[in-house]
Amino acid sequence: MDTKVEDIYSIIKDYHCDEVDGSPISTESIVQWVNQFDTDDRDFILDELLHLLSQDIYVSKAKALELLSSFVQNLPSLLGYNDLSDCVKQTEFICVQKPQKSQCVLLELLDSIILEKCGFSLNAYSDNAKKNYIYIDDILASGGTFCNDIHNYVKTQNLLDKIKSKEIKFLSYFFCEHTWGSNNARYILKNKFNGDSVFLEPKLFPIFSDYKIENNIRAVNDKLNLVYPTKSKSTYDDYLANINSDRQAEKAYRVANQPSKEAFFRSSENRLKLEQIFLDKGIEIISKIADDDTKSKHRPLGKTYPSYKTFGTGTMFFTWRNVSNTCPIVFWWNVPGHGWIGLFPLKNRGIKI
Amino acid sequence: MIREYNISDSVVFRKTKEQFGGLSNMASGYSLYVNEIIIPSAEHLYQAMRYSAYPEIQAEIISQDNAMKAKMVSNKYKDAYSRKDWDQIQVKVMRWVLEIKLAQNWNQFSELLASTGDKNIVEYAPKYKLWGAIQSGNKLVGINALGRLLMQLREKYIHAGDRLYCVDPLPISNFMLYGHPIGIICDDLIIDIVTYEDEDICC
Repeated sequence: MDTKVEDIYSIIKDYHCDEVDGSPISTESIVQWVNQFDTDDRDFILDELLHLLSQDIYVSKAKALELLSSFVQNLPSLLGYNDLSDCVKQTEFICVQKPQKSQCVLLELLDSIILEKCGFSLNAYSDNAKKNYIYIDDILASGGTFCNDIHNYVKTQNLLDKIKSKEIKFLSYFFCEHTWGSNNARYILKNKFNGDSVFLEPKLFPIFSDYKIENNIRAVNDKLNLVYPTKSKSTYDDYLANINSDRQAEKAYRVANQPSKEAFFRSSENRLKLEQIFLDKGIEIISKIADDDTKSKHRPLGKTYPSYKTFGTGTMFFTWRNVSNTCPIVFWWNVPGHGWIGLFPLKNRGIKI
Repeated sequence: MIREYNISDSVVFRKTKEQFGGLSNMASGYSLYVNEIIIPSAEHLYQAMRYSAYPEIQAEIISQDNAMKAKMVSNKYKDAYSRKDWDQIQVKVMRWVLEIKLAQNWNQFSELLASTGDKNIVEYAPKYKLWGAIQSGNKLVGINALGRLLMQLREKYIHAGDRLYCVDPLPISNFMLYGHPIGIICDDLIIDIVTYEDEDICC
């Protein structure tokens, strides 16, 4: 177990490294976390988690700088410029989230990259007329935040006609994009803008991402590189039966032969086993929430829309900055009295109980 | 089945960039959303439905960035892999596709259809084809199946003032996209997005 723990630690050790107290991750914290699972499962969980983490699903701060730098390097060709400085001067990097949120943190990193490459900061030319707009964030999961931000911004800045006429370019960039979420987000935006299909057009409204979580079970050969259980235990049906809504109920389970080829977990058997372990434990944790309203807003495999009759988003993607609450709750739940400590502690969000 | 149309009494479309180009299946700007898959144009969907039993071919068609490429991909497979009943169902499939195009692009497409008034709608075809009509003097002659379907849509929904929201599936066996049945398609994906000001939402 020691070697596996050391290897996991080496990947996630900079989680919350920007906090005053430094990263809370240690080999001891990893052991403490895994020891909350059944004895027979612990080695297996570490083996599988290490295998998954080795697939670039954890973005360290250094990796984030590398990804952002690469994105910046590509901007001139994406936006039709020969020179990065000219490009940045005419580009608005949208900042609409609260200061402690992921977008602002990424913009700070971006600012340092631009300063190094161009010799001026992102805001240096804020009074310039803008021909390009860029929305940036770490993860697009169900797309709710993205939809709201884009809808509000495009509406208040009156940009819709300019996007349609190609007077301006508008692109979005994420470290990680859930394909089902981004497709839904595009369609919801279309409906929010009175049926305008510009948001369904990748050329007019491109969304770029470094890592895609393919989670549309009705697409062709989606990898399902996340936690997505099969209908395999009666307790799962019992859990769903207690969700007072029917939306997306048909999406609660993947069928056993999905994905057609296992490329994320070490084997399809391991997928099944780890998904069951995380779901069983997640249901157990959720059952400890006393307040029914709060319980209805959480899901064992991570947040999703409260009206969805599913087990949650199941995201398996992490960044040094903060764990997404769309990840299975075994990774982040930490409520006194619930007897559980997540692998990745939360900040700036907390858990409302 | 062959019809004749006076050109002067007709709205004729041939290129997608022209005034009535949006009537063409090839037109961009009328994306569709079926089984939570974004489909770039009506032509993409129509061509994909030839291959209900071959999800990989459907995916190749739908992944093309314009309708002409989608049709070209379809052409290379159609002799060997088209549905056996395609000739019998193709007009029904086209009507279904057009209804989805109208339901999901109501503002733009209904306005375009309304702007044709009561004129004949005819797709110009350089040579004889099922879907359009060829020029013969001051007339257009052909089956003009696409134009006639568009006129039916115009009559049924635009002139009747009946906003189309939902399109029923066709009663056709194995009518699937990517191996999954296609049910009723409605233009109503409205979910309870909460605002980001709420600390407790998912991202």
